[in-house]
Amino acid sequence: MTVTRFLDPLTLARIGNLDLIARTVVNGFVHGLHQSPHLGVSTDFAEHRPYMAGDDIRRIDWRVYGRTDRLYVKQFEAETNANVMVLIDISASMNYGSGAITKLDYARFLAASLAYFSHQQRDRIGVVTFDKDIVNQVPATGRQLDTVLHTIDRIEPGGEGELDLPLRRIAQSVRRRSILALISDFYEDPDVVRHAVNRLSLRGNDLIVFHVLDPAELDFDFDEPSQFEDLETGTRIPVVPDRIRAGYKGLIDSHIAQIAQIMGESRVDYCRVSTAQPLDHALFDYLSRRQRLQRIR
Amino acid sequence: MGISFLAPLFFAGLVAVAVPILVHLTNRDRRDVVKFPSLKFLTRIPYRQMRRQRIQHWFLFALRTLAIILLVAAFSRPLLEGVLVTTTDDAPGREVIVALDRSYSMAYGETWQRALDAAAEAIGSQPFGSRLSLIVFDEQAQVVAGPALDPALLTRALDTLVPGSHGTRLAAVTQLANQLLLESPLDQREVIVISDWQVRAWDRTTRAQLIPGTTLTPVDLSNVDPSNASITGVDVRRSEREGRQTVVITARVVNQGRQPITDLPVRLSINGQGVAETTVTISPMESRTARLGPVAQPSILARATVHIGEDLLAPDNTFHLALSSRPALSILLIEAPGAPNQGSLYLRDALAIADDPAFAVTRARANSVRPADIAAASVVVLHDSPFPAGAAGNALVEHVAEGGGLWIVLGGRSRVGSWPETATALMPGRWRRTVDRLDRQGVSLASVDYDHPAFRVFGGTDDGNVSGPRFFRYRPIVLADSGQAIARYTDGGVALADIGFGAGRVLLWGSPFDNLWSDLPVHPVFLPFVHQVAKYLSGGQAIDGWRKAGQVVNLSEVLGEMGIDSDTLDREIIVEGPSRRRREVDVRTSDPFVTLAEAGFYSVYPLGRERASYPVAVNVDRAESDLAPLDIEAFVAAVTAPDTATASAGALGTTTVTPADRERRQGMWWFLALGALALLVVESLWSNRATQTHPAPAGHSPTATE
Repeated sequence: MTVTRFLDPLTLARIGNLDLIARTVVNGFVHGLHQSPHLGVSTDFAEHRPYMAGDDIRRIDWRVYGRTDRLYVKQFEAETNANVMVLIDISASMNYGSGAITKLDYARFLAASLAYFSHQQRDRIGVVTFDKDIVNQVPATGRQLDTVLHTIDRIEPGGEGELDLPLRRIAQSVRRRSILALISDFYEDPDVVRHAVNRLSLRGNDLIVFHVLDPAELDFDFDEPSQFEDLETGTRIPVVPDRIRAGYKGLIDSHIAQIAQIMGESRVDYCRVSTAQPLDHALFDYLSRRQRLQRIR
Repeated sequence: MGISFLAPLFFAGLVAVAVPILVHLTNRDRRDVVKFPSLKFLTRIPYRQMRRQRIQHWFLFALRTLAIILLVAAFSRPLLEGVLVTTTDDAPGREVIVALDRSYSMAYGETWQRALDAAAEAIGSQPFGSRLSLIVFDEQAQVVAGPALDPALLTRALDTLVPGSHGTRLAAVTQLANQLLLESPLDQREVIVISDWQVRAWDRTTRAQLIPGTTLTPVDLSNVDPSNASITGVDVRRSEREGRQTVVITARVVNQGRQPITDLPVRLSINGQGVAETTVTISPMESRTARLGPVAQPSILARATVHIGEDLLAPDNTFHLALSSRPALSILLIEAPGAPNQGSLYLRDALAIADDPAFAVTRARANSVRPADIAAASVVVLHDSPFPAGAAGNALVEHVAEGGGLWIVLGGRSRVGSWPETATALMPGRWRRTVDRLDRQGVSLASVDYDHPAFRVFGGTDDGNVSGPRFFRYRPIVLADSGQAIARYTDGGVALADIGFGAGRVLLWGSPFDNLWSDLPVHPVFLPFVHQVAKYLSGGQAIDGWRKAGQVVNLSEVLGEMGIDSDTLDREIIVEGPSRRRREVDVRTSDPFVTLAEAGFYSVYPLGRERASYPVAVNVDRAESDLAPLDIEAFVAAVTAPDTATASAGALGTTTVTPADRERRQGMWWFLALGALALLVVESLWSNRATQTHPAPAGHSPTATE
């Protein structure tokens, strides 16, 4: 049994229990990296620094003192207790899936995995769901994984979505620097996205963006002329896919490129994920971001 | 080889071809709505690129369209005429004319219903591909329906037909049939005549041959032993009884059956009120008169109806008559002083025995006649007399000017140049000394104007010979500028001249009625001639009368009888028939002629003056009452050319075309329908296969939207 099999969204969809999904994803993912389930715990040594008055004398490295006759204290990696907030876009457009799972399902798996993973890291974990406004919010705490997972599990698709208002409110409600994982399909004007993202990142938050898309949204592999209905507005238009496929792909690619460019300009980690991809891609991005943040501290 | 269709209206169903087009282009995927996260980018693409203008499954589209076309063609009943005509021996394309007699004799008993049944059978039994026409005829013939390949058109037209009020004229059928047949491209022609075949319907002197190659199929609906009583005419006699004007109407009733009729009631009603009744007993093929009255003379022109008891043929049981309110026309006969009494004997007796209208004749001498006598008369006759002198002469001129009539009968006492100057203007001409034609055994009348009312009754070939009387002496007439010669002698001399003066008219006749100057008074034409002249000079005063159904009436004449000048009329004339059908006629701008199609009373009145209604009595042609049958074989032989195939009488009932045979001949539509069905089956199979082979793309069924 390979690890990636457990990370396949199709396999995860059959499990049903979100807690188990998160455990499966995180343990399987970690197992594939190395054997330690406690990567980056606070006992890791970082560096030495000269002793200063007031430092705990228990942190003085006596071996270094014996070799150098100078007092140095050990500098360890930062302790846990970082705030991790998972921001999930539950607007109706997320309720689309050309395969076994929808983008919202994928977002739930990803959010649950991130929550579980962060909990293992002893981070404080919280979750916010929103469409055109905040729908549900669980503040970040260190002991509410069950609440967070339950909240994620009970997510229902919302209505029309937008980024500006809910992210502004989230930015106002997050008072402590946090790691913010934003999961959305970003059907929004790039300028709006820019303002919303900047509002979050400029408050000192570390923002990582998961741009979730369905393969059909990327490839537009429809054959039959059909009535296409907007999931958010209910608007219908007749579409001949063969005629517009090239034009559509040009537009969506351009949009994705613009979003990616905005994220880069805003120094936001951007991860475009497809619901057909295993979750490890997203988790790798998150992990690398998380490790980088720990080292900085 | 041409293609025709029995029910071409079904081609409107080709509109249904638009259905598969709409299905393929517009509505085909309406059931598969693809839910998509956002149409944000789709709507940015120009709309014309998103319209589903492309037909993807051409084969399915072609199948569906072809199936619909075949169904429409099947319902339109296509007919390859060329094939049928040339290859089907027993059912060639034929031109068939069904002629239905609708004269009133067809109302006898159940004859009309039998006629409709026979017509329906004749129409329905025609082979597939026959081109059918339905015509009706009485004295005229007209096309009611067709030519058409759809028998239903003719059958529907049958429902609207009823017997009329006219007689029968078989020549009308053959003449109209020939017109239709000459226009037909089909070689095989048949005329089916459905009639009661009365002997009087065929005038052997009229050319009535069908064009060669035409089959005549008579359908005989004559009755073997018809019984019918009819009123053939009425006489009206007026008299004065105890100071009151009375009327006696005598009706002539004929029994045209072979059984005697006993105690047949005969009733007279005037303006709807029964006023007299009697009974008659009539032996077979004989007639009797029924005397009704005396009854009081009506005060206005009345609607009199004589009716006999019911029998199998109702239209001839009633006789309508417009009964005049006027007493007998008064005629003042002025003779020369000293003229012998017997000089005007023939004239007096002729006038006295008139009854339609009756004349009341008074006599006076030219030297003693009073102006009052002249004023009281409708017509003044100066019989071999000088012009009255003095006041009487002036009264006579005034009498004519005001609408009275004057008949000047010249004789030996009509002195030349003795007439006053005031009377000159009313003279149609002057006369000269007597000319004697004894040397050539007299002269007779020639160059007679039979359109003039005085001679109109002699216009027919059997209506009297006006050239029979011999004239041995006469006064030559030199016409005035306005005078009109109505009749001339064989030597060219004017016998009768006419002129209008004021509102009246003056006739000038060149020979007295004394049986000396001519033998006219002892000829049969004398009485009607005198009567017609007297009626003419009376100025169109209302008289008893009736007209025959089908006759054309001149409304201007009717208005004259009503005392209305059509030239000064300021409104339309309403002619209301017995069935209450109204027709407006503007005699000022259109022809004043109206055909009297129905039997009964027509009402004529100026628009808005219904109370001034003037009745015009119309009766059916009594000759049609004679139900004696015609020798049909003789008729068929006479009207068909020698090389014409002729069906035997009654052959229609033994037509060999069976329903199964007919259906087989018309079965082409079955193949089309089956073809359409097969196409639909293939379409279903192909459609299912196409669906399975090309499943809907993943985006068509979002799983999380349930």
